[in-house]
Amino acid sequence: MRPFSLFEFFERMERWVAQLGRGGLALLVRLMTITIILLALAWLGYLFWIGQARLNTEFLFGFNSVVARKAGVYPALMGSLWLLLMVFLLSFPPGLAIAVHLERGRTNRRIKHLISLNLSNLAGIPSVVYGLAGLEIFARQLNLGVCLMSAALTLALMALPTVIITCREAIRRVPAELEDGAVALGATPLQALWFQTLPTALPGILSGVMLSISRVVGEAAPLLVLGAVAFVPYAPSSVWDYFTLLPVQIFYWSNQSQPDFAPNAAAAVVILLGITLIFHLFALWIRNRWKERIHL
Amino acid sequence: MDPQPLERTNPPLGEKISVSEVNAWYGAQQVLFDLSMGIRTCAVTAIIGPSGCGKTTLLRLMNRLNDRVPGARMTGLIRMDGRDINGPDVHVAELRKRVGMVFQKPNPFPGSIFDNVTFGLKIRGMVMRSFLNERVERTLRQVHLWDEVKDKLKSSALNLSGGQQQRLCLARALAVEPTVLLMDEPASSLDPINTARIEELILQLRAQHTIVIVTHNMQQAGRTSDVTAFLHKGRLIELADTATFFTNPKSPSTQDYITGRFRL
Ligand SMILES: Nc1ncnc2c1ncn2[C@@H]1O[C@H](COP(=O)(O)OP(=O)(O)OP(=O)(O)O)[C@@H](O)[C@H]1O
Ligand SMILES: [Mg+2]
Repeated sequence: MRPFSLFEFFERMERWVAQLGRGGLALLVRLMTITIILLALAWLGYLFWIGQARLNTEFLFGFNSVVARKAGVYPALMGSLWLLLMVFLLSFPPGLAIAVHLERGRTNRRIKHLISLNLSNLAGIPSVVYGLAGLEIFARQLNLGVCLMSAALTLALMALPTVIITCREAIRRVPAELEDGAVALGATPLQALWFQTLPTALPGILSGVMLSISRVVGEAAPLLVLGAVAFVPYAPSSVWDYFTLLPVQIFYWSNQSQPDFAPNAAAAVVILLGITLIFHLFALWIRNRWKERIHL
Repeated sequence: MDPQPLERTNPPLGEKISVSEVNAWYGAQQVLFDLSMGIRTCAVTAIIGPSGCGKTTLLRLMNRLNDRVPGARMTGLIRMDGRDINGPDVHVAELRKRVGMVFQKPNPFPGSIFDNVTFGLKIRGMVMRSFLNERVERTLRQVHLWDEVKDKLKSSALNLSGGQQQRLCLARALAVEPTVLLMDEPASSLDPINTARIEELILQLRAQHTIVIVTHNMQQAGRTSDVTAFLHKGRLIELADTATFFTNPKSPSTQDYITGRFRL
């Protein structure tokens, strides 16, 4: 008997899979994919169907009300949009700076390793815990109270570990020879980083950052803990204002005992999904435009 | 801002760079041993030797690029125009502005062809459009790339072929008019015609530049260089005028190497 050979094993496997692929397997995979997409579409359609009565401008621009038919989503919508922007501004610059420092800074390697370990741990902490920390640190200790700013700070803190991790990965994917080339022409390390490495890494950085931020802004739990309630009679006009936001509003409406609120919840979910979708398409667009320019 | 004609600070036979008793390490592995050699002003010095003997490392010490490699260190003295390049009063970026480098593996920037050539100029504050245009055309003509890319200067450099990228990287280094030019196998992915053109260019550049070229091609070293150095396992085995080096080498291992009978 011939000895077992892994090379031969793989070759046989591949031939076998190829044979299957010509017949059943490919069909199976395709069926599964189609099923999943159909399920997602069906769910979306179901939401549309339930919420259709409320998917109008009145709902979009209306304020909250105890009467389900009259209640609108405007304060929550504005609250979510504000948060999206604020969390981006609060987590991206420091996140990128920390990532750059960890990749290029002169800190001791062991300390960097320790920080990286902690970052992955921090990224895994449940969001409720961030809510509690935000309540204690920002709302109470820093005396900001329950306002957009403390919510944004809490969510930014929550997004920060993932933002740092994705930025680091994007920077690390840029070959070191590129910076060497710039430095050899007389660029300072910062110039090389800023003019060559970061633009090259930018698509990866942006899409990663946008994903983690839109993820975080879709969370209801930490802000419920922080003290956000659904019934806010006005849209925020400054970062110190009290606020509500879509996930909290959805949570609140879907918890009502009256069935009239179900369409409201469904319609709000459709709007939240819409925002997320637009955000992701935007990230994709930036990424593709950049790709065209730098061909990576 | 017309390019200033370069003054010869040293007489042609003087030493632009002097390397004395240099040892170099990556981590615990020593790769250069007690290496001393002079690089003659406005001449071409070829460095040959088997793979892994430390040629690239030696080049990277001359523009202090190995400062950037974690764990890399050196002892000994490298002087340029008489000044210790590792001295406390030397501004590294300024040093590298005068010592250009072409890397063994082409490493064009991901931007456009135009941006590649002008990057070095821009960091020197030269941003006038007409000047940049003129310089881009001149250097791309020098490396015989102009005809191939003149209609697509705005397209990405990464779409060029390996040989085109190599010439682009040479143009990028030439655009800033360094006094010293370190070339690590600058013709490794060029066809015979372009190789011949680049060799001709090297001979022209010699009038104003001090050039160090690493090559695995004996004929190329013979054709282009004034001085040839043979490195083996991190040690300088032989250094001589190119004519003498190839016709009458002193060391038996040099003789074996250039005749292809070399055993590691
Ligand atoms: N960044 C690095 N880290 C660790 N070791 C390195 C590094 N760069 C080079 N070395 C080692 O240093 C030695 C010399 O390498 P170097 O690149 O200088 O050789 P070379 O003469 O340029 O070879 P080649 O002709 O293949 O380009 C080799 O043994 C190599 O393994
Ligand atoms: Mg090399």
